[in-house]
Amino acid sequence: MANPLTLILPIEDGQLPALMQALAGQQQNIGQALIDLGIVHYARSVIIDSSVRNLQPSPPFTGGPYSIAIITEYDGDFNSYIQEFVDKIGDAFNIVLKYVVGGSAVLPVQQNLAAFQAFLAANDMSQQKNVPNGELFSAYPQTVQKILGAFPPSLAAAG
Amino acid sequence: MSELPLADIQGLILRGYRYDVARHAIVHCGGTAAQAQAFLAELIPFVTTAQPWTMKPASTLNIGITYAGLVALGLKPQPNDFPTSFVNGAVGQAAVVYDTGANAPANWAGNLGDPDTAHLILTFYAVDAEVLDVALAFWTAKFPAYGIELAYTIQANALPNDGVHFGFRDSIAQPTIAGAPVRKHDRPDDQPVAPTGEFLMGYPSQMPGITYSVRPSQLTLNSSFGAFRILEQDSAGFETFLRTAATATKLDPELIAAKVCGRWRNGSPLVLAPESPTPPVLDDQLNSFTYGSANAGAADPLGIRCPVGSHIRRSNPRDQNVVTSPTSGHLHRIVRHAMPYGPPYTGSGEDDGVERGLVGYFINADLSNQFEFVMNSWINTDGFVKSVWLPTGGPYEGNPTNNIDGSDVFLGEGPGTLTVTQAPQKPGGMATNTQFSAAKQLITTKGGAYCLLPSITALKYLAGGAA
Repeated sequence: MANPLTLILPIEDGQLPALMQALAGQQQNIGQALIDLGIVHYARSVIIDSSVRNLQPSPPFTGGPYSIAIITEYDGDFNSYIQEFVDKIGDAFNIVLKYVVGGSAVLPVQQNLAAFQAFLAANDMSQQKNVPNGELFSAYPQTVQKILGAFPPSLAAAG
Repeated sequence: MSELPLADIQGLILRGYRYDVARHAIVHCGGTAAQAQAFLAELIPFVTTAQPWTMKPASTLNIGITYAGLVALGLKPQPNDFPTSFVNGAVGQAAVVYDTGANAPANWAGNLGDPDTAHLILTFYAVDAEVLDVALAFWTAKFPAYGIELAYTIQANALPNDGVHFGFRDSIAQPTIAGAPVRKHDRPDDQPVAPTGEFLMGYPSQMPGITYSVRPSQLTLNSSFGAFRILEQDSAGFETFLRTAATATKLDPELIAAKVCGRWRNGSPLVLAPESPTPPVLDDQLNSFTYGSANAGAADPLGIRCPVGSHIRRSNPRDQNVVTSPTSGHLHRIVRHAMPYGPPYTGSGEDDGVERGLVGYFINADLSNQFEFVMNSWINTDGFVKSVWLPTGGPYEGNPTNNIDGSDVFLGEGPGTLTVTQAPQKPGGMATNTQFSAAKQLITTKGGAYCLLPSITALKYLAGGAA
């Protein structure tokens, strides 16, 4: 049964364009890292504008405050895989967290593992206990690897 | 390579003492911090270090201290001085390692389910029980003066041929630690040497530029952590399981036993001896195997010889491709120094009402990434094996992720699942699996405590002015 991660990271004033550019540059690295990690079912990011009622940013992106939400469903215990997670995807976080409020205090993440772990936990809405934010509906209990194992390559290519 | 300062390191971390008996005395410091420090100061000269012996002592002494014990000794920890797992203790971390249900701390012996019970664990190994009695009497006589209360003791007794209950030979595989003295019965494996810092704080760990440490810094160098565990084994249940599994699968019960463990009861690994325990694999070859991955010529990637879900393969995947990286199987090593307790089981499936099991330490520099990780991510789950269609390029025989189900039959919480993978019946076919689930959990946690295994320097620091 997968677990939810809903990171909401406030972006430093005026840094949204730089963050979006940095993120675009990391897409391929992040994608490969997630495949190698093998525990993330789905991952996406969403930019949020707190100054508008429907939270949807619009050009010229000089308003805000803005936040970036990183939303995933992943297998396993949040803390268990932190060492290898940081090893695989730490550099992408180093690039992105520069533009995030409080982010520079945990850089580079590889050298600040406990602080990075605490930073993620503090900003993970799914771990908030004040409201039922931790609920996750899953259509299936299997892990990423078990699902991949269900489809021999000739069938997977068609999917 | 520079020598480790063995005189500052507790022997239990780096050495597997070979004695016939051991006793663990779990004590509570019920007096003042000054009294606890004074008691610790008395113990320190008797602590056995990792230095080689010119003459084997009649008994040894090692000390583990829980977080509650550090506080009782007068330490005033600040947030982030110690790792979260250690601070929470075995009781607080129970859910992480699947100490739930029958394993839950509420069911533990000696009031160990109360996180403030265990302060110090005094571990004595000895040549015989009479020596143990003398050693315990010597120290318990001092308890009243220092406000020390004996919470629980448990005695371990060696079985012949490094045996453990369930009839297997144990203590075969331990990680090779950089800088540590070579073990007396060295059975090198094909895994990378573990960085010193994975087993001793204050040395480089496997993460570039990272050294595990605690505060105050005097407690760091040459110290380690140990998960003390009392694991009750249901020998009657295991024998019954073998019989019923053999009937259901039409396989020989001894082969079933080997498939559950990954080694025959005599220690020969299935990867090297897939058909029979005899002739036994040579002693120094007992660890000379890999499981392989997608590469050509790999030893046993699908688990046809040694099931992917067998105990030794789950607890130490070696070069098996597992999440989250192809080398993850080398990154969560533990040192096990534990011995059986209780008399051997001689029945054939009926419960004899006798308590027996395994007691001792699972040792590592980082509880979260090592002991807890193995329990949480490998022993108790089945989705951690990387999906790889083998052989690569097809026609495929199988995928190792499909050849493991449920939890470890030995150590999993709840009834475990044995999945036996058989080679394709004909060329071009797929490997087939036969599954058999145990009727019940076979090993139950009956006690636990996360301990700092302090260096001699750290012990003296904790004893304060009394040392």
